[in-house]
Amino acid sequence: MKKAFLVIWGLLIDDLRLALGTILSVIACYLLNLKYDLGEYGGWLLLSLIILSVFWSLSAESRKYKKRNKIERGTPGVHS
Amino acid sequence: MNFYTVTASFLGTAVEFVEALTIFLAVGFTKGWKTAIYGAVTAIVILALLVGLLGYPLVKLVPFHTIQLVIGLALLLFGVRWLRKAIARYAGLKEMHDEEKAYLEEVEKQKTHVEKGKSIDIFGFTTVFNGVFLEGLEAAFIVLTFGVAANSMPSAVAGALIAIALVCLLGFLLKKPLSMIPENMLKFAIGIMLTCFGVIWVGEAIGIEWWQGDLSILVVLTVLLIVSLFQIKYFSLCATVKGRDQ
Repeated sequence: MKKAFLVIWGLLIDDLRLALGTILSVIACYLLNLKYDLGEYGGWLLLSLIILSVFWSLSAESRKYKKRNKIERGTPGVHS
Repeated sequence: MNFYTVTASFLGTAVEFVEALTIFLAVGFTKGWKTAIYGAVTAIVILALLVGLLGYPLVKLVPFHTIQLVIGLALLLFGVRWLRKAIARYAGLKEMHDEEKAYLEEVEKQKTHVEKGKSIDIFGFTTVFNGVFLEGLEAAFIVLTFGVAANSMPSAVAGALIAIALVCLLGFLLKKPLSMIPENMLKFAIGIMLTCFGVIWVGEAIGIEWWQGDLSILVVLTVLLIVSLFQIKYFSLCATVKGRDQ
């Protein structure tokens, strides 16, 4: 059971930030469309939010890259 | 036949089967073809049973809007995951996937694990089974979702079968991993396509109207491509600046 869950998790959710951003974008669009009837703008809003989620996740990846570089190059004792 | 579905299904399946073929060849050359073939066939049979037993009845029993939302969301999650990975690799934030390197690593791993006196090597069998099953599961997921969402299962299956045949043929002719196939480029392309279809289908499922109907697919694809190229440029600049700063 645990293995099956891990397989599904690995298939769909690789990065929690990205998955959260994507799901929240869909919920936000659904609620806004329900309240204000966004019409054709709804699709573009959804697309923009998804793009922002990808950007958000990549920014975090970029920060992780920076941190990794810092540890590999700067910390005394790591390569000694 | 639906051209978009055939293309997306073909690309998605091809990427997954290139990875599975790498494992299959590594085990075949080191542990014997019998082990590799048994592992692959067992995985394919179990996969086919799973898809047949769970996939098709689900499509027939659950209302279309619910399926569209669940499948659209799954496609979207799958697509943005691939797109993010491909952008990160192009930008230099992640290491590029190298089939040649993966193949040599797998060969080394298989060589260090020797089982004598058995016609089928359990370690080799398990490795091929896991590889083919997991990569096949991803491919089956893409084929099922595209087939159901576009209401064109034959197109999705046709795309997948062409991809499997082509990858197997190339693997058989070359007898080495298909490292010349630009895997990251394929992942980038399929990531954009999956994200695009995911956005469209989720949008339709939650009651959003798309400008000019199906013509929006082309516009969304173009927007995603341009934005992704911009993100590659932006994050590769970030990586360079950060690298220089250290």
